[in-house]
Amino acid sequence: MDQTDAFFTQTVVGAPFTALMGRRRVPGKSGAEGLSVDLATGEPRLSRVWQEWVVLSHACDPVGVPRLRPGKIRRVLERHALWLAVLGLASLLASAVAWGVMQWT
Amino acid sequence: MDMKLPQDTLTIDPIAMNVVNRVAAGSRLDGDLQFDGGLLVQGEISGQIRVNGRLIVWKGGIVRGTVRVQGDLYLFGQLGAADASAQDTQLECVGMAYVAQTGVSTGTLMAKRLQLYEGADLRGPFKTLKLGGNLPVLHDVQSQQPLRAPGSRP
Repeated sequence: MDQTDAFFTQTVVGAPFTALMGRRRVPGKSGAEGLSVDLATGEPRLSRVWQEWVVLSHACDPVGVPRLRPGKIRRVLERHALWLAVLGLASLLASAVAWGVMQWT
Repeated sequence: MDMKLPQDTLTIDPIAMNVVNRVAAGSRLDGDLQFDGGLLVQGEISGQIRVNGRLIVWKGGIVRGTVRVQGDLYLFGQLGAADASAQDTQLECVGMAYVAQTGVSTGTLMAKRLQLYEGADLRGPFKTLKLGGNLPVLHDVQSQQPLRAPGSRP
């Protein structure tokens, strides 16, 4: 797909968006899930459960495959990430200033 | 202890998923239709439909008739009319069929694999598509393009 096609696709169909699928209806599965080994290539990789929680970037996810919705705490953290970063930097700066003042006095 | 499973989300990226066609909400298409690339249905579509890509039936979207999907199916809307029989709508999906919590199917759904979500309303039958019957035929894949030897100029 060239740039023109991509432009018209985005104009006509729309920008990327995320839809909620719901809870999976799955048969009971074993609780432990660690590494899974690809039987064809022998390559070990993190299983799906770990992928959802450990991997922060989903840029390399396969296209069109649903993934687990992040938990409530993670969603809140991601939504307020900028403010949390500002707060952290401000705290660091305040601590440095306070330490400097203490050294000076 | 009864732990609730977390929910799934799907990121629909029209460019990455090659969903280049859309039937907007309020639109209605009927007849012998063929779509090259994926299709997003927010309106109503019926007849003999062939989608050479993914089919996404959005909430409020309705698909009726005989449908063949050459990719995955994502059902958030409705497959088949509300009061119709299962024979009125038949959908054949070569890939995986995802029926989301808002999805309703009254037609016959045939797919290689099925993923159901809680709340999905599957009223019609589901049949597993056997691999042998859906192997692509050469003239089916390259019907518009003449065959060329590798390295030859067009």
